[in-house]
Amino acid sequence: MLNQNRDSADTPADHWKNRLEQRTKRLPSSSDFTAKPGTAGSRRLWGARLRLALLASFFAGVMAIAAFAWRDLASEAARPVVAQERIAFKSDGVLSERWVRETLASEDGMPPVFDIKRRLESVAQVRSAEVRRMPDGTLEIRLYERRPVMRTVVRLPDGTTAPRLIAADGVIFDGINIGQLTFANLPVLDGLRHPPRAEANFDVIDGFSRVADFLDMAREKYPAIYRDWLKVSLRDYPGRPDAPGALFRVKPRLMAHSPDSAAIVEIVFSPTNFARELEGLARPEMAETIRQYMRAVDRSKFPAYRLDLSLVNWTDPRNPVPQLHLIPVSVPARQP
Amino acid sequence: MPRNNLVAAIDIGTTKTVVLIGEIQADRKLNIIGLGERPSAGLRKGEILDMSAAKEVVHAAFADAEKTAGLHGKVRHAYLSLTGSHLEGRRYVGSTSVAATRVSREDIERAKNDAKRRKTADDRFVVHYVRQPFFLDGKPLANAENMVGKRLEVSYWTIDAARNRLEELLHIPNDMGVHADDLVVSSLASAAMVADDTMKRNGVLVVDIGGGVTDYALYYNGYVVQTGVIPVGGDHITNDLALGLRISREEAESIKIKFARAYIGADDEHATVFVSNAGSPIGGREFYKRSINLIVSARVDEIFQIIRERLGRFGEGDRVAAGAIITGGTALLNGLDLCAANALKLETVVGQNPDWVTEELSGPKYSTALGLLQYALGAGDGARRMPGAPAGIMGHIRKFLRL
Repeated sequence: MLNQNRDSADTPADHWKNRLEQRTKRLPSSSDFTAKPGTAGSRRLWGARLRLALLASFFAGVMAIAAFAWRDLASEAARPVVAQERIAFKSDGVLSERWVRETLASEDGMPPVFDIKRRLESVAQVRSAEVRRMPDGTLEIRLYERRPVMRTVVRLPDGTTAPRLIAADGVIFDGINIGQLTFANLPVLDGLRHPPRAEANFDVIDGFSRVADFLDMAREKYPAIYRDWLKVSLRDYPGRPDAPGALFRVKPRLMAHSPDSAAIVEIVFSPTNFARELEGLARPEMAETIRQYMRAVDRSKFPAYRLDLSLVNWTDPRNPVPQLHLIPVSVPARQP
Repeated sequence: MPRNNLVAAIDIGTTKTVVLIGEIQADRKLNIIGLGERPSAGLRKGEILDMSAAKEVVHAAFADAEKTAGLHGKVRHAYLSLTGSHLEGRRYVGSTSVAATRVSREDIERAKNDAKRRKTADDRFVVHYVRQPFFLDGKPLANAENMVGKRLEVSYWTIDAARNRLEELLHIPNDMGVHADDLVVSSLASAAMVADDTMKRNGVLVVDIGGGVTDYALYYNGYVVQTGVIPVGGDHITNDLALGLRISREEAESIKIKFARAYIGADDEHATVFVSNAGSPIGGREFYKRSINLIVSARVDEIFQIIRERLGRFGEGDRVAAGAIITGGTALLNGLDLCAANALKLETVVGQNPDWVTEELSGPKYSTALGLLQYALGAGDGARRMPGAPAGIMGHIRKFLRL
């Protein structure tokens, strides 16, 4: 209690205040810096002021000329187009002319033509936009869109979550006009270790092109395998395929393929060798090997396994069917 | 009392540093005019490990507080909080024979000096002599002067600290030209804010759970009877979550703040929570709430079991009728009061600063810094009497906080 603590003043011997000397640093005060310039100093001071004024005048002049030139250029470029003007629209994706009109609409009709390309390309789903005004006044717009290869969930500033898509170049976008079925059929991104960097107002995942190559190959060449993939974890992928320990971890859907392969809760691929690993996984011999293995082991003891294809087949590297590395996992890696 | 009536309260914690600047007016009113808060650096378990880093943070927080107060280089006196496992508390008893029939002031001084005559080790200095009641022929008295008796006894709860730790701590304000007017143990400073006189008379345990350490102070009959420091705090909960769930410390801290609970509920069995990766809003993982709460409750329970063990019979319910008050930054952990009540076997609440403190400073993490200002004001345990003071104090504080 404070009043009782004040008793310490009566007991100088062991109290810290009486045994520790505080050396409070002296800080400079404003008076330390005051000085009275002499006659020579005064002359120098006025000279400096004059030079400063001349320099300021010169820069003001340059700025005025630049502003005048810019206003002239801007007035040439900023011829507004009319909202009802005809638009010749093409896209290699799912965005529509209606969406373009809504996006470009403003209180004064359409924005200046130079802004149209910039505004369209500021939408993450648009990879690039070609915008031309034809001699008859028609506005020709051609969009090249990003194609989704994965889906994810983002947390919005209000705390809610929302689904998003990831393009082959790692850009994360909303998925305007993309159907629920397309969303549902894409594998889910999991275990992203590094936050995406911001670029041109949207988020980009570094080193994602290798993941896109992997997913494209699986989807195009081995659709039966790809169809069963639920999640792809990048927890062990730091963005460079040659990084030590870099792996792609795939979690298949429940009841994939057959009851035997359903025990496999995770398939591990190498970012540098996934082409060969996918090829080996797709071989009929592989399915048979897994089936035999599963029947031989005690499933009651270890009900779940990880199939690690990234481990090199040391016994016979020429064998197209990789040696089976099924590793029991104590906790199932997937959740119902 | 500082000459210019401006005083800073510097609470250097393991996770955060808070600086408040108070203006003490002639009629002993307190006007809080500045606040600076920065995440701490260079500290572990309440002790300085990296002087440069710690100093930089405190100086920055101090500068922030001065800036909010519209002052620069004007605050030259400070009260500092003190914590760490180097603090030790002991009870020393002094006694004397009453010279005449009635107890005189000289008798009281003699008894007090007898209690304080014990020498501490060369490398330790006393920080607090906290007086306990007088006993006149075995009868407890708040003030023994002019009472009739033969033998007068008085005891002190004495808190001492390691010399090196004190020198290190004092170097921080001294290096920015600020004199440390006093050092106050964190638990006592917090208790000045969250526990009123009635609670202290009835017996109350104040537990201040910070980032690196947990401080506690036990009051009985209005006097401090025990204080202590446990080198376990909120950071250990974060660490446990990071190891147990195999996630980064940042993710673990986020889970602790948003989802963790200090007990396991019936609804935890199948409930999951979604956590963004690496602090990014993109992607994420799901965790079972049961796993999170199991880890958190185990650590929190451990903290309170240690306190209970240290208090021994003093911590039993009949001696601590007002129960326990939890304060400090970790007090905001969901369900902490229930876990504490279960472990300590005491009625437990999360501490609230007095209602004259406006909302911005009402959180338990500011209790220590506010308590330091109360010590500076010289009111100490009278903190709860502030509302009864003229309304000007509230007006000044509200005026500052509603900038």
